[in-house]
Amino acid sequence: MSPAPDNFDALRRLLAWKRHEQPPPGYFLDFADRVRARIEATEAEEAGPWWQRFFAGLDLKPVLAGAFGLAVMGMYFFGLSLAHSGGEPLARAEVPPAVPLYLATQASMGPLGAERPYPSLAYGAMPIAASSVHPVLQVGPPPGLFRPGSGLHSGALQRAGFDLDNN
Amino acid sequence: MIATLDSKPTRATPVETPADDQVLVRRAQRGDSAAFDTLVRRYQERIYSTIYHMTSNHEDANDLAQEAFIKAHQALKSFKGDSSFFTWLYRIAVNKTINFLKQRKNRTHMSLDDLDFNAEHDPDLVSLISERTPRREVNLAELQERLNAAMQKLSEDHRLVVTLHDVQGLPHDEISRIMDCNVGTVRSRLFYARQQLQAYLSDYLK
Repeated sequence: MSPAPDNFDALRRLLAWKRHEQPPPGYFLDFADRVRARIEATEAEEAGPWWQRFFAGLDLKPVLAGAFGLAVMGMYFFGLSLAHSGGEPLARAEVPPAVPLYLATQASMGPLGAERPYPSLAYGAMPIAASSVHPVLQVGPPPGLFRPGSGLHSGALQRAGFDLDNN
Repeated sequence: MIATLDSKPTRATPVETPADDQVLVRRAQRGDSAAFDTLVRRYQERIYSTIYHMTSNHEDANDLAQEAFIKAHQALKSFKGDSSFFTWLYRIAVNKTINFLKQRKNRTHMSLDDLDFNAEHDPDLVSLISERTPRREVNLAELQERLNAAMQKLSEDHRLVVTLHDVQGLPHDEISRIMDCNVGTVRSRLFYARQQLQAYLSDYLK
């Protein structure tokens, strides 16, 4: 069907009047600069490291962000279930006991500086098995304040009180 | 400028020679950002206006116009020059706008641009109102709103044809290239869209 000759003159004049609708004054003065800034921002984003592009992608795609959140939660619960089922024996059996640094250094050097797989114990202390509750090996009281001949027992101590009657 | 009643469009045909655009495009393809900025300045008003008349929303038109130029910049290397840069750029802008309008369907929110100073003194409009409109004291803002509301009632394709031809002033063949259809389709869409608009705006066109 071919369109009939139109009588749309008045309508066309009315539509042409829409050309008077203009954006705010000065809008086009910096339009090209705004476009340029966005182009450069996009290029910088694309040139960034993979994890930056990944998180930028999450911003743009909510579905992807949701899937990522679900994956993180899944890993969390998986880890939690593992910890409940077999976590403690693993800690007791496979993790070597931690020792204070000074013991480890002393023991590993040895008389000739040869390294040993495990440190020998000083001061004859018996180790307490390391676990998640006792992560640090205890080897008895450390040398210090209350050992004879040192600290408070050295003899240099003076009494804090004084006699009022002598003054 | 004011539209005349000639059947020929009076505005917005590409005024720059194709060679100018071709030179700028080639420079931009080689990474000359100043050349691309010149192309942006050359077409920014026409691209913005087309999108604005399609959306009746300044903020949306602002975003979409910028995105159209960004997309053009990204795709510039693949531009072979089979059509003019002007047509190619319009296609990008129009496709972006139509996709946007399909997504926001039934969520029309008008945010209209202000009328410029000449609108009130437009002799064509003054004569149109005084001769044909029963409401002599027509409120220009109300007329603008009615006109935009009527445009939003058209389908995207019909609105686009009216925008490109009756508002922007592009010829039928240029519109057919932009819309990737034949000239007959453009003419019939234009006829149908005008009929619809005439019915919606009958108060102002008696």
